[in-house]
Amino acid sequence: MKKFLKVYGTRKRGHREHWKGKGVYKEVRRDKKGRFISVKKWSPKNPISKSVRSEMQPLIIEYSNSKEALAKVRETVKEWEWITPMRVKS
Amino acid sequence: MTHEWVEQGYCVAFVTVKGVLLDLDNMTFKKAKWIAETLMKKFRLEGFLLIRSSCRSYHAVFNRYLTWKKITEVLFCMHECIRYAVQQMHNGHLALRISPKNGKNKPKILMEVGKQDKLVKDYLELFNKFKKAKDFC
Repeated sequence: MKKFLKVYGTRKRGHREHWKGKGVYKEVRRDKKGRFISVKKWSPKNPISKSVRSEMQPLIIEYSNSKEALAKVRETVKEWEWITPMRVKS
Repeated sequence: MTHEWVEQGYCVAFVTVKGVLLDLDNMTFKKAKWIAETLMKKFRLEGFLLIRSSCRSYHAVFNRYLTWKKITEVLFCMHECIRYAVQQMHNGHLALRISPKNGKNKPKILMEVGKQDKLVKDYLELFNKFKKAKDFC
């Protein structure tokens, strides 16, 4: 039976880019092979600095036993650079 | 985009869509225990695990495997669980943290009631593995 765990936090964005066009900042999401997924307007309300570029989507890890789970989490955690998010004061 | 409010580093969470997990925040141990016992009796959930995640915050893991339809029914039957239920329904799965977060310690098991051969077993398997791992302290 498939079991799942998730690793979450704020990490530096890997395969995404920042694109400036016609005076409007946009965020372009691409997959690992560089294919276009979507485009989003960069917002000043975004708590993360535009120079940092980060994402918070949780990473879902599939495992069959706890030993495998620990090994996979260690491997996944090393792949990303985990950062402290900056918050906008309201 | 979801915001998990992790101030530093990362967190690890147990995820399931096959049984009931509960996050009971801002309440006494007595009330958390009462909620868990009530749900267990009402929906015949076979057993539960009560865990303290931080001061006045508790987690509950119920043993019985259920369908997603039944899980929604269980989560929305008590008003104390609705906030957690809405957040988790939005994510599409139920999740409970098993690692430290924002200066809070790892969750600590307080009570084991009834059977522990299904979802509780899955949770404990992962919980104990991460408990022993020194890099997740």
